[in-house]
Formats: sequence, C-alpha cells, structure tokens
Amino acid sequence: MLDEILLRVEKPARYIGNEINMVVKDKCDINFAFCFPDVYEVGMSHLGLQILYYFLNRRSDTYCQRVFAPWIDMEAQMRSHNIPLYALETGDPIKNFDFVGFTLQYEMCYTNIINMLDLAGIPVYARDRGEDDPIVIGGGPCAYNPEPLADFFDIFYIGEGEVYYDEFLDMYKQHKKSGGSRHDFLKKAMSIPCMYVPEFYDVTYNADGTLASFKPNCPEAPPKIKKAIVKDMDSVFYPDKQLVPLIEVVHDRVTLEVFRGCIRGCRFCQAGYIYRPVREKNAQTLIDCSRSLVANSGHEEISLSSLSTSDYRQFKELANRLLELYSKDKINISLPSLRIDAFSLELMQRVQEVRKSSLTFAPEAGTQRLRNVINKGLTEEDILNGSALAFSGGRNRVKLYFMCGLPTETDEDLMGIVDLANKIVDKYHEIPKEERPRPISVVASTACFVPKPFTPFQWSAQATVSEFMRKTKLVKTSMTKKQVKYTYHEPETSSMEAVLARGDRRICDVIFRAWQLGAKFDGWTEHFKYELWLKAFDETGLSKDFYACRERSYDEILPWDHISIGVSKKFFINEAEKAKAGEVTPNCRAECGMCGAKAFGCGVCYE
Amino acid sequence: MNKEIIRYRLKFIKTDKMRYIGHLDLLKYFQRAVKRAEIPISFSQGFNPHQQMSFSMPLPLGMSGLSESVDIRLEHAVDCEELKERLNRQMSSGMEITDVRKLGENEDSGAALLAAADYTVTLDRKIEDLEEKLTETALDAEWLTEKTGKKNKTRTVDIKPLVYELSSQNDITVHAKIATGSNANLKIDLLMKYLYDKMGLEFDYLKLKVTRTELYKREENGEFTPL
Repeated sequence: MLDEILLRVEKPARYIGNEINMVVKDKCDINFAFCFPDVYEVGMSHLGLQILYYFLNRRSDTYCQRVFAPWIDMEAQMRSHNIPLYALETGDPIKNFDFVGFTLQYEMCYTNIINMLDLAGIPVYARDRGEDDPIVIGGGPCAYNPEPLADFFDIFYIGEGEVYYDEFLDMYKQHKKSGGSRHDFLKKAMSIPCMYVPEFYDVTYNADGTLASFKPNCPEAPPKIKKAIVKDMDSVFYPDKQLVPLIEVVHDRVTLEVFRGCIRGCRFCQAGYIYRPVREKNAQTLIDCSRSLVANSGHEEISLSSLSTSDYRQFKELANRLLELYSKDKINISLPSLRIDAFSLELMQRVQEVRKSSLTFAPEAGTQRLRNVINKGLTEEDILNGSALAFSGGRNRVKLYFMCGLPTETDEDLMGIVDLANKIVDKYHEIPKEERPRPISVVASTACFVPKPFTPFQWSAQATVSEFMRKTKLVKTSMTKKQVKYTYHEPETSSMEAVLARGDRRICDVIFRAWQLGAKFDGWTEHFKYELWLKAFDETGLSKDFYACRERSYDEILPWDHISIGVSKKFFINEAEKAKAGEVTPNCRAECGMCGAKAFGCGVCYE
Repeated sequence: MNKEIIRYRLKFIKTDKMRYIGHLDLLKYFQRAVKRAEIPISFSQGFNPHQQMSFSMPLPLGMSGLSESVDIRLEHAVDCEELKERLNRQMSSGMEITDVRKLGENEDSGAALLAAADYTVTLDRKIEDLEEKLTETALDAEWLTEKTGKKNKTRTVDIKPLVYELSSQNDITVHAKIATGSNANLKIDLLMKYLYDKMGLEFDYLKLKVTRTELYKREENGEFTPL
C-alpha cells in the first residue's frame, strides 16, 4: 500500500529512511521515536537530531528511530489509507514505542506536534493516555517554557540531552522489568533534576488572568526544575558520522559544533541566556572530529556551528587548519555568524574563491540608542568600516537584518534603519567610479520583535499587529534610494509566536482548537492561517493580547518560573532596568555580569 | 604528453526503497559514495569542478533498474574487482554495483551507444488472453498515439517502429524491448497507455510495477547487446 502512495506524493524519499549511516538494529528493550515536528528537509539539517540519534543508538539496549512531520500531501494519503505515523528506520508505527520524544525548536511547530500524535493514534492529551501508550517527552529550547504544551506531554527534559538520558533510560528499563505503572515511573523520573512532569503541578489563576500560584501536588515533585548542561565539551559524546540524506535538504554538510552559549548577552536573544555559560571545544577536538565526519559522509562542505563564531578563542587557528586540510579535496568551509572585520573578510576571500557572496550585518536596531537598549554591541562605525573593507575587496551586496517593535522604540529609531542603509550606499560611492564596475545593492529587512522567556524583555509588551504594520509602512515609504530594497515579515505569525512563547497552561486548549480547525505548518507562510488562531482564541474565551501585548510586572508569577536556567531573576530585572536606561552590559569575557551561571562550575566563568 | 584517459563502466541495480530517489539525487548519491570510497575520480576543469561521471540513461523515479549503467573517469587505474568492492561497501540496501569494466581508449560513452532497453511491467490486473491480444495488436500497421511534447503541444506519433519486441506472461506481465537513447526514444508509459487504450481498459500508470531490466547498444549487424 505504502509503495503506491509514495508515487503519488511530492519527494517520496522523505518517507523511506535508508539514508547513509542510518542505524539498523535488531529488537531492543527500549524503542525511542525521535520526532521532529517539521518537514524532513528541515529536521534532517538539525544538529541536535544528529547528535542525539547516535547518542541514544550507542546504547545496545535502545533503538532510536526518526519521525518527521509528513507534508500535507502525504498526510492526506496516510489518513485516507489508515496508515499510522511510522518511524523511518523500521516502518513500525510509533504508537508501539516506549518513548515518543519531540524536539521543540520553534513555537510555530506546536500544531504539528498535535497532528503527529493524532496521526500516530496516540491520545493527544497526556491525561487520556494509558499503560500501553508511549511516554511522550519534549526537549529543546522551547521546553524552557513548557506550559503552552504541558497538557500534551508526559515529561519535559530541560537542558542538554547528553547529561541525563542514560540515567533516565536505565531507570526506565529497571522500571519496565519490575512491572511498575506509568504513573509510578513519571514520579520516579522526577528524581532526575532536569525532568519536569506537568501533571504533578497545580496552577491557580487570579481574577485578572495572571497566575495566582504554581505548586507541586506531590512530595516527589521538586519546586524548581534545573536545566542540565554539559560541563566538558571535549569529552562529551559527539558522533563520528552523520546521517546523509538521499535527497537535498536545507543544509547538506558536515557540522562542527564549536561551542555552546554566547558571551554577548543581547537582551532579546533567548539562546544567549538559556545556553549559559559559554563552553568551548578545543580546536584539536574539532579537527579530529572533522576527519571522521568527512570520511564517513562524503560531504563537500564543513560548517562551523555556534551562536557567534568570531568569539571562539581559537577561531584563527581552527579556520586556518581546516582550510589547510580540506581545500585540496575541494571541500568548502562555511562560516555563518561571523563578525565582519579584516580577518573574517580575508578568510571569506580564501574560502569562497569564486563566487563573492553578499555581506551580512545584523545591527538589529537602527540607532545607537536602541542598540544600547538591546545590548547589541555593533556600532555604525563597525558596519561602515566593515562595508568599506568589503567593497575594496570587490563586494557590492550588503544584507542588513533589523527588528522592529523593540522595547522603547520610536519612529526615530525606525528612520535610523533607513539612514544606515543609505549611508552604506554613500560609502560605496566614495570609491572612485572606475573601481566599481557594478552598482551596489543593499537589502534591509525587518523581523517583528517577539519577547521570549528567560530574557530581560520577558516582561515586555509586544507591539500589536496594527502597530507593526504602521511601523513597517513607515520604513517602507522612507526607503527612497533605488539601490536599497526593503523586505519585512508579516506580523501575524510573530504575534502568535509571542503568545506561544510566553503562554501558560490555558494556551494548550487554544493550540488544540486551532489544530482542530485546521492549523498546521504554521511556520510556513503559505500554510499559516491567522484567522483560525483568532477563532480558536474566541472559542476558548482567552485573549490573545493578554499574552502578547501586555506589559507584565516584575512581581507577577511567570508561567516558566518553576524552571531554572541558572541565570537569576534578579539579573534579568537588573538587565531590564539597564535596558530602559540605555546602559550596556559588557560581554562575559570583558567583565562578569554575575548572572548566576558561574554556579555550573565550568566554561567561560572559569577562563 | 597526452594523458591516458582511464574510464570504467559500472553496471548497477537500483531497486526497493532506492526507487524513490530521482536522477539528480542519484548523481549526488554516487558522488558521495565515490568520495567515501576514496576512488581517485577525475574532476572537470573550470570554475566549478565536478566529478567526471555520466549516466547512460536516467531511470525515472519509482522504477526499478536491474542493469543500469554509469561511466566514470579516474586519475589512475584501479583493479575492477577492487573498484566494485570498495563502492559496494558504500551502497545502501537497494543499490548494488554488479559489474565493473575498464573501457577501451576509443569506446563511446554509454549514453552515446544506448539504443534500446528491456522493460518488465507487472500489470494492475490479470488481462484474459493477453498474449493473443498483443499478437492481434501487432497486426496493425501503425500504432498511433498522442504524445505531449514541449510547450504542452500534443502531436500524433506512430510508436510501432520503436517497439522491437513485445510479449507477455501469465496474463499479468508484459515484456518489451523498445527504442531508448538519444537517437530514438520511447517511454514505457506511453507504450503501456497505448496498449491499455487499445484493449479499452482504464489506465493508471502508478498502479503498474515497472522494471528496466537491461540497456543495449546496437551492433553493426543490427543485433542488440548489453552496454
């Protein structure tokens, strides 16, 4: 049956497995379905999946298999032929697995999770699951505020998977042998400090809709759940091979994880706080790693992965050695998230000998005042000098990334976006005419600011959809130079993202209702249906603006207060106040900000 | 000094799950396998060097191939058996290199030589007296059918001269040897649709199981021999 269906869908190779380096095993004690709630090509490009897949499969008692969200056409075929959601390795329905684990990378995937559970024939609400159903577990960055998904998950794992999964699976095996109940296991799991089991916590609300209390309802449930982090990045497991897809995916390349965390402390950036402290890998570790990954994959590109590669202390050494090792084999080195300076430009020149790619800056805000508010250390001078350097090297295309709707933003800040783009054009024209054969092109784009948990802006109100529209229109009409192109994100998606990012447990029903009404693949512009979400809010009697556009007070109980990332609330309040005053905070290497992450006993805090 | 041109022709099977990857993905698949196997492949010159590798005929997505063919050029000679073994260590289930042969200096590429292919088609239903019906059809002087060409223009073509052999088995399997390649080419789905239409049966190509079993060149005496 599957054979005939596969010929009727787009890209059937999404649904067959059989990739290079796929793990094949006989029967195992523990069957783990690793689910990525987006389409195959996106999920297969995700480093976390590649790491955890081999990490779990290195255990002889565990078989970790992959599951992705079937695309709309495949879902329709599966539903009409009663084919339940299956794992790619064996084709077995995931309903029969011990664990169904979802990685939560992006809020707009939430309806896909519901859809996948439903397609699998697993009760969507955790409370409806029985002894024979899998344990549904969530992890990844969005798990740091698990509340909008709390009703659908049995457990959330907070933090980095390499730390406690062994202990957790050993515990499960023992429990299965002794024939204990599901309920007992969930209680037992809470002895691991990063495990959050929502059913063992009760929430009450005030008349104004804010949280009145959030309390454990059994003695085993800890009042605070602590994120797990890897202390030593050189000894931690890293795969010596990668799954190599049979079809083109978003990133077809070897990925080297250079470090976790970021020293910068940009105040809008959740990743910059939840992955604290910065922990680097040694360049030698990375080189060793790259050899086996390249040999076992046949990839033609190596990418360095981190939040800010230029901040890697051994960056020059690593880049030079990689180039030395691989340029003769025609393997490219890709360097995302670089700060533009003389060295990075020279490096880019050496890496991409043929095609000169465009230059990318992320000033995020249009004026220095607002950049200080968000603690983005990039100055106008940096951008103009960097551009000038690049122009003299023959480049003529610049991309600029901004956000609109940032806290304290005024129209003057928005006009700053226009100014900056214009100044770059002027900078290009300073070059004598005969030395610039091609015209300059600047593309400025704005994304809508979404306040996230565990950032100094977690209390901030988001701009309303109509405010966003006014702001982007203002920028658009002010962009008059023909060399500058302006693009912007539609605000409706960002507005929903803000609700899902900072929502509480009541949002579960909104997500469920939106899914019932037909919402899925909300992260895909062509599939996002705003009106369904508005209807879902309407029917559940909740207010979207209450979650997205309301300024919260410091003493309000936040839905994610029971999760500890090791950065104190006091620090965030202090940062929020400094933001309002336009004061910057130095990066972790320049001066310790006393955020609290030093308690983990590792990384940049001890350099 | 002129460098000797060292070329090999690999025959391979592509079936089961591997049927679901298209031609461009297959190319990428082979390029990576060659890299992992550390085969000393030659690269083309120019700004964007690529491996010297050319398939004789793309296999359509969904179809099994039991004797597909690709030519590769190497920097230095490698023993054929060794080449086969090293590549087979890199093949996923559903893919297998079945034969490796070193090509003579003046031998044409597989793509240039290709003249015909054998297909085995398992039908979606038993058709009573299938063999007789085919024999009857063979008596027609012309097999006229509509063919959709470029720009979605349809034209009427006679496909009979492109069909070299046609037989059936147990009322459910059709074997066909048809013109394939750059000179004359007939697609198997067009032939099957013609036959179904002729027999007045409803045609859904996706319900047929199609296997390409052999690729041929044509000798001077007119005989077909495998590439």
